[in-house]
Amino acid sequence: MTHLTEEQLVLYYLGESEELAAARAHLDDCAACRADLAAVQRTLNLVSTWETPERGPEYGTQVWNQLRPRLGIRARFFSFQWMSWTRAASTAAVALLVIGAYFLGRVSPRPTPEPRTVAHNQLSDGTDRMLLVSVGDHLEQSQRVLLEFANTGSQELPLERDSAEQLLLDNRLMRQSLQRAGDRNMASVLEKLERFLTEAANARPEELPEIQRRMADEGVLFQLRVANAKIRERQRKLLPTASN
Amino acid sequence: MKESDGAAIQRVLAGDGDGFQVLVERYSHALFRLAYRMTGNEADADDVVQETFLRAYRSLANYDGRAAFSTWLYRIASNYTLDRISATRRRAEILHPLDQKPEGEEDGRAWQPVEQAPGPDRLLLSGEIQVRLAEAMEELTPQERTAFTLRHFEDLSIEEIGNALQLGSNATRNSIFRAVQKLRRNLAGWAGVAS
Ligand SMILES: [Zn+2]
Repeated sequence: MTHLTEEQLVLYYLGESEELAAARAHLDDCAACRADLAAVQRTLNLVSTWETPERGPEYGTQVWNQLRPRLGIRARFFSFQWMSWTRAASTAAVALLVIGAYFLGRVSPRPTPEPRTVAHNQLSDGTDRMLLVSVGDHLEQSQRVLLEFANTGSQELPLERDSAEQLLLDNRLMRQSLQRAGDRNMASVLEKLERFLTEAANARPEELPEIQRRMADEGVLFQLRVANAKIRERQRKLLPTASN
Repeated sequence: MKESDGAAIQRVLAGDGDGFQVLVERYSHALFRLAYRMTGNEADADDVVQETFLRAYRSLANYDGRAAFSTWLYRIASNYTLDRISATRRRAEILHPLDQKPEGEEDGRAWQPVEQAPGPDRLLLSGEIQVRLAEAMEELTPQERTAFTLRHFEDLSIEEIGNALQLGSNATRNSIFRAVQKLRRNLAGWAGVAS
């Protein structure tokens, strides 16, 4: 009689035999093929003992934390359009200011002993409404982000990473402009804000509650609200007739 | 109550991307085990897990629900693993067009006892068996290895594996058979040792 081929045996073992009844009939009669089948079974039993490394119970969460920023998921708490519109406006305003100050300093035909100081003194006098408006908008925006962040107890900044980075960049530019303009109080508010934004933007999710707690302890939100009120007040004084 | 796969998928498709987290947390472990068996390497397996979920998320609208979601994920993971292996191989061929094994390593896969901390014989033996098993799996071609893993460890049907690897059922059956055949050769003498 013809014995089963190795392929027939393996497929029989896997339950994928095309001539199942014939194979079974042969195995009933043939000890040699039964022994061979048992050998296949032993090999595959051995293969089943192959271990894989363990991943901890947090693995799924780790995978998700790594994956989520790559999915382009929209922020849940924050109107993205509003965000990009104001951010574009404020960034443009700051850029204009910085460039303007730079050229005033360099290209000014009049010889001035300290051109940069001249340009920025104009700002510190409150004559530059643009900076005030930009800082005011920026403070409002930051306030909204941080308020959401503090209140939801959420495990993430209510912003996409790009937006958080842009907010930080705006913040840095404005802080520098304010410092140059000699507005130390306002600059120090932005400095504190910058510190928290940087921490929060780079934090791992499990570190966020601690940052939220310190934000509350240091009264960051309250300071932002006060600073924003002052800025708006200065804007009004600057242009008493403007409808704002 | 646990959210079903279908409900989570619907939530994602309706615009709540965070619904995907349920699926990631549910299937990460299984996917990692599968990926490790296909790649034989932890770092590669982690990468396969990430890329599989990324691809699944991006093509979630194409999931028709005919296969279980896990099977659909396995399909993506298998394809990605095979692509990845062939890309690595192409790169290696470009970098080392005449890849020759160093002298004395013609039988490069010959098993050598691994150094282990002293321990009970059984432990030592099981460590050796694990090494030998990993090496035996390495001897399979990527296609054989993937098809065999899906069949033996994940219990997918020939049809499902064929769909996953874009192979006909004869080719799928052949791949699995060749894998078992090679494993028998390479594990000869060990099969009786394991209890
Ligand atoms: Zn026989």
